[in-house]
Amino acid sequence: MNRIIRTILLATIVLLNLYLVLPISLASAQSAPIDLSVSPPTEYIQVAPGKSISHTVTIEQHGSLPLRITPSIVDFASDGETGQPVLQFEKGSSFRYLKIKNPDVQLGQPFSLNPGQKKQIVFQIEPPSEAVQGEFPLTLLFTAQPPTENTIGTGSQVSGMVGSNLVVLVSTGQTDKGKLVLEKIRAPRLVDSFGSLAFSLLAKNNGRNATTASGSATITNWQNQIVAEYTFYPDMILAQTSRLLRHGQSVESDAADNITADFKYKPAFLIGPYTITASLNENGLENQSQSLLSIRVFAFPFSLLIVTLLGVVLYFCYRFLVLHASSKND
Amino acid sequence: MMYVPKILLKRLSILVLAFGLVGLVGYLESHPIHSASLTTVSVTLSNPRLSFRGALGSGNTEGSSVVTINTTQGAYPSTSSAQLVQGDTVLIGESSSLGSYTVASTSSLSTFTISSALAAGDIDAGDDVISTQSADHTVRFSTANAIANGRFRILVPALEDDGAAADGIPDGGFFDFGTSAPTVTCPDDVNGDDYDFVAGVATASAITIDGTSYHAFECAYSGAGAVGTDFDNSSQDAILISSLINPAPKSNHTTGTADSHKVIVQHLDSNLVVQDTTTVSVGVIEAVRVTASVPAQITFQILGLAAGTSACGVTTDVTTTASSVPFGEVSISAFNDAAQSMNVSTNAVNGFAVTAIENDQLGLNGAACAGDPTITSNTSCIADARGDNGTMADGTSDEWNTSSNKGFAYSLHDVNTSTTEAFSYNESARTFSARQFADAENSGTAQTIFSSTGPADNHNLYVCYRLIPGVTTAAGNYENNVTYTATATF
Repeated sequence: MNRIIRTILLATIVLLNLYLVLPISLASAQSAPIDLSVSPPTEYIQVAPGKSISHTVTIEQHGSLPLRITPSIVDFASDGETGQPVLQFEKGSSFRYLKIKNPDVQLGQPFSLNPGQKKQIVFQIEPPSEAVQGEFPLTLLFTAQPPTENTIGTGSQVSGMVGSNLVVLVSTGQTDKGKLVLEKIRAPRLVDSFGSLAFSLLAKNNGRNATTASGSATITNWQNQIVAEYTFYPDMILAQTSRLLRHGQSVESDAADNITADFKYKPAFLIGPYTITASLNENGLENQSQSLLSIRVFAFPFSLLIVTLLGVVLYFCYRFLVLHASSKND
Repeated sequence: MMYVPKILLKRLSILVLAFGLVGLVGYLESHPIHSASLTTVSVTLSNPRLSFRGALGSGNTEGSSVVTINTTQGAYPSTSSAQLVQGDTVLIGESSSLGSYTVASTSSLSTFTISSALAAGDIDAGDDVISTQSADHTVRFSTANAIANGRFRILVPALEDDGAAADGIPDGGFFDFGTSAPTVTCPDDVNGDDYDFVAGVATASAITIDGTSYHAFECAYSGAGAVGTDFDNSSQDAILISSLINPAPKSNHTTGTADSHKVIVQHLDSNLVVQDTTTVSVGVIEAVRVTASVPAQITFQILGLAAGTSACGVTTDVTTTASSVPFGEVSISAFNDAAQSMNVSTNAVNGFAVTAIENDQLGLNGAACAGDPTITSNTSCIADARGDNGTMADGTSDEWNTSSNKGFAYSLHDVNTSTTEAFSYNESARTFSARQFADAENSGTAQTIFSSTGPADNHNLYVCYRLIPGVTTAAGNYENNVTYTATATF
């Protein structure tokens, strides 16, 4: 009898435990996020051929369950306009002179990172003396996945990757070999007097290393008076790439929202010819040679003209219809 | 037993009582009020920071903004730049020609930087380095006795009266009087007859007690005084001593530990005899330096969402985790919806971008779906959807609200309008505007789904997954992998 009672009691405890613990485990797995940070987000370093330099990336896990972190390296290209890196997943990395110094971390091999754990990955960059000089934009990627694969039936497995950009300049010289040129002013040649004069500026770096944009753009009216002036935001333009120049919309332009690639001048009324002139310092330094570009835009009250013409046409149509009707009556 | 007449007994009692009264009055006359302690005494400094009184070390150069101080323990009152903080005014040079500078930062205990360059005459080893901290002293107390026509006196430790106690330069372990007398603000008059104060008086190094000099600050009054009057800045005004220069560290000072100084509060009678006295301690200490290192960083978070969540204008059917979107057994006659949440925070000045790409279209048991099949051309794939108008692609959105159009696609919902998404589920007055995932197997390139052009504080987005297989799709499990990548904009 005692044995039966003991067995029932044991079974009750086991079932109760299962009942209490199982939903919690499921709930934990369900709510556990992939939450990872890396530092620095972007870094520019220079190393001479035959020399060595190290670069440290710190990775921190903020989630609530352990994660498998797999490091990898891919080249990135500029998107030609915004500065968003376009990762070359299919090509991987062509830069062969970078290796991880941590003995317990290898490229392509996952390592475990517990919740709250932080790990520093030290990259050694060591181009040989015969290495090709140039700029190599890379992204050091860290893929986060749960420790075990889920069996999901129909559906998608999701991976989160967070990257740290590293722009390596292999060069024996100084880093002021940037050569920025203004490629294009994008603006309509004709604008309506009641509209705005909007334009954008595309710059290209024909030099050997990334360089920050500096310079300004002005708008002058038919009296040769400057009616608007914009100072370029110091965005980095990678070697052999293009980027739209940006400016702060106002003096208090520290807020990110105020930095824009849209240059816009909107007075109450535009009239006559306006000249947009842009001046870009070639290697990012003032008092150096500059790249200049200008175009002329003509403002006219086209909308007013169209409304007037439309009025005239309607008037004559009306007259024609009235005359036609009266002649019919006659 | 001897008989004593009643009347005699009565007169004797009166006589004894009279003698007793006369004796008591005489005793009181010859023994004035007992010395007692003022109660509830406190002295509060408006600024408890130590003054800095140090000297230049060797190796300072003209034109440099880095100042090296002498750190030899005991050589000067101040031997650590931990006492200084950004923005402090610091005087450097020979005592007759001190140059004025502003502290820009302190990086080590032996150096600090200034916002301008050191001048030629301010670089010699041993030159003074002085940064003065002044404080107002608020003295609160409650009287113990009623003393007529008396005065309150506050004694603050000072150097011996050799001129240095009142030269405006901080003294190690003592309060400096300053070159002009601090203002003593006495309380307003109390109850008319009790305390009628005259203007306060400050005297440098006026009193010496047990070999220690004290600056004296007095508030004299006329009136009877009263017991238990609270000069506490609440019932009555407290006494305020303005702009006394705080001490530099004592010779045995330990950084981070307050130097203690005895301040004496006295109540004097009309003959300037101390009747009541209480000693309190005040502490002066270095400013607490709070430091924090904020590295440039980017944080990416993916969260699963429970079934029943409202996202992209629909209610989701399945619960997702951070790493999976398990549709499970799916309906072939109605849309199957799921969603995940993504967050990015970064202090990168140019912001971030998050891209998405799938390794392939959903294949039976994860098998390849070569090229870009349709639902009917490859029944072993749940192909990427084409939308209601047949225009959907990885970079082009299309309305997808008709369940007879089969496939797999996603939409975006900026649920708290915190970020800039590539497109939105309700753009162009649509109900469920969707795109295909970029297909890596078919040479697709990762597409940006949300981004920012500046630092981002928890930019948040729902990614909504929608799936409906064709009626000809072979039974089985269909899988693929979707990868989200967060990178900073350079």
